[in-house]
Amino acid sequence: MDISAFVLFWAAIFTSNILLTNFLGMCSYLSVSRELESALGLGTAVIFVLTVTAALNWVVYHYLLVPFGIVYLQFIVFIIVIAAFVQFLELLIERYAPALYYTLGIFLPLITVNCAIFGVSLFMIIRDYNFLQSVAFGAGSGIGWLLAILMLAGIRRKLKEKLVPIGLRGAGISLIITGIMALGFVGFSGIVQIQ
Amino acid sequence: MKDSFWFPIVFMLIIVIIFAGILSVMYRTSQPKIEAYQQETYQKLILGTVAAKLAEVTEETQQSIMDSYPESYQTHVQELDIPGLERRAFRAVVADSTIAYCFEIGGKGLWGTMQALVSTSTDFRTLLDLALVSQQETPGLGARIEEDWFLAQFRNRLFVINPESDTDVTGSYEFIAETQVPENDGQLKRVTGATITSDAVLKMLRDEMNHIYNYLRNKSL
Amino acid sequence: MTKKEIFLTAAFKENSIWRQILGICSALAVTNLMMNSLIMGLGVIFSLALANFSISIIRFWTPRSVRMMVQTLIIAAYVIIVDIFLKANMPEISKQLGPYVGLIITNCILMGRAEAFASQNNPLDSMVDGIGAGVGYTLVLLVISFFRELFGFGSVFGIKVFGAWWTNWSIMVMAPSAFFLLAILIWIINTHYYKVKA
Repeated sequence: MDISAFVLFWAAIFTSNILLTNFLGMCSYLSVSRELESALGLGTAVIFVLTVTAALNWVVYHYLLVPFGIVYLQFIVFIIVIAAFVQFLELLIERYAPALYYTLGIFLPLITVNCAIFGVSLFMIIRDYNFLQSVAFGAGSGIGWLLAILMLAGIRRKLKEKLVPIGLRGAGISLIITGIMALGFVGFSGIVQIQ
Repeated sequence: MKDSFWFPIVFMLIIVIIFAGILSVMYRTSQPKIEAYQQETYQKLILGTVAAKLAEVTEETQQSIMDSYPESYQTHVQELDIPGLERRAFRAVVADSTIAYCFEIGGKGLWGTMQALVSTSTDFRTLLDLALVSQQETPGLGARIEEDWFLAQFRNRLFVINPESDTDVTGSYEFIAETQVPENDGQLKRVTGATITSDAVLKMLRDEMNHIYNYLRNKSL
Repeated sequence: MTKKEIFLTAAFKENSIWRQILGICSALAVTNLMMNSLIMGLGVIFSLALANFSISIIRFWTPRSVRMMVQTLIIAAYVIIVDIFLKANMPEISKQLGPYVGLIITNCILMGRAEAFASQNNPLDSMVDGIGAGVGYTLVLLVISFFRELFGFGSVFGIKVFGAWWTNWSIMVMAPSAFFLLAILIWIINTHYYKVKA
């Protein structure tokens, strides 16, 4: 693959936004976008976890799974790496930065089940990225996810909920807004080919 | 005990070993079956790409050739070893004379790599048929490249149009909408809503045919 | 609760998609064709039932700190088992399911049910809950894909229903339409089923 890591980074944010183009990471996105502050907190955590796990999983795949011929276990191994890292991160934060833990704490378990993180690891293997490309892709995807959730949180803050029909409040209107954003991002497609 | 330091780690390890064990056993016992099936599918695809040509030369019909797999495959298809080509190659023979070649080609799609088999005439210039081995495109959109109408566009097509060229031996092509009718040989119909995937198929064909033709044009097989 | 109540609650009253807003990712990706939705749904039902069952069995021994990892591992293992089984015995179906295997593992529904039900209830109940949640999920997917396939391709389960006079709505083929359809579905259900009032 001869796309520079730099280009990949920007593509992951805009033209192949992990959430608005690939539709991964929706669950926590929908529930946490109520408050701008929480969205920012979760999004930042996601960027960190995504970048590190992309790097970790790349190393594990190429130096452990492939040489030993146990590629079929890749799903399990990736998920374990992600879950273990998040668990480890939670312990670290709880011990050394308790204030941060209280603001961020509840979001960390949410990250483990964020399909975006698993998806990024899968994609980088399928698309055969090298290490630098994988890290750039992970970081970019994280920022793209943060961008999407910030946009939704910002819109929801400004949204006059009274004007929304009752049945649509909350999840319904969020989905419609996201759909419109996704349509907007379709306009980015083709600018940069990251495959 | 549950809250001690070591118990969680030991517990995790036990669970991992149990499930990894189950998976390994399942995987190893089903591998032979899976591989046999995959080989059968692959060989049938190869046979399919040369069946039309075989039917021309022998007195059988395409259908009977396909139906008499594996005998027809063993009689008519041989794998070739072409060092340096870096692709699997096959030839279709009728009584010792080669009537067509078949190459495994690959390229990047939208979601992942795609692999295909392309059969060519003996001078490597005409595409006889194209079959997809694997692709990871969006089901219902990009994956529609496996539909017959799309693949049929490449059948019996003179692909190497500029054999002397240094840059690109294939012709130039443009994609038109699926609902339109091509006005000339340079127009191909794309899959609606799958522009990138359709482009990827064409790019794969052009890149691969360039590589194959340039490598083989002066060699005798 | 009786088994029937558990099933109905998991499938309808506490439906994973419209009530708990889980499992959205796959609901958007696979609903372009009804056949894809059905296959994905079946895969989810199997994995959910088996995973819930297993997680419930070991629930008293699972330490708190590794709870999520254990659940994730078990879920992933069953999904792969289902995939290997299909590859060996029903290769045609497996070819269709292929790309979706990864999606099932991270489907929040599985983790959600494991946390909410399986870790606190007995194995048999948990299995019924798993089947119920899976069935509810599949039904929602089928409804959305019905509209997307009908208006986007003019067919139902691959059988052409509309004649040549129909122009396909391209938007139905693209994923954003799933957002809108899902929102409309939630709207209708909130208004009529739960009778949400001001």
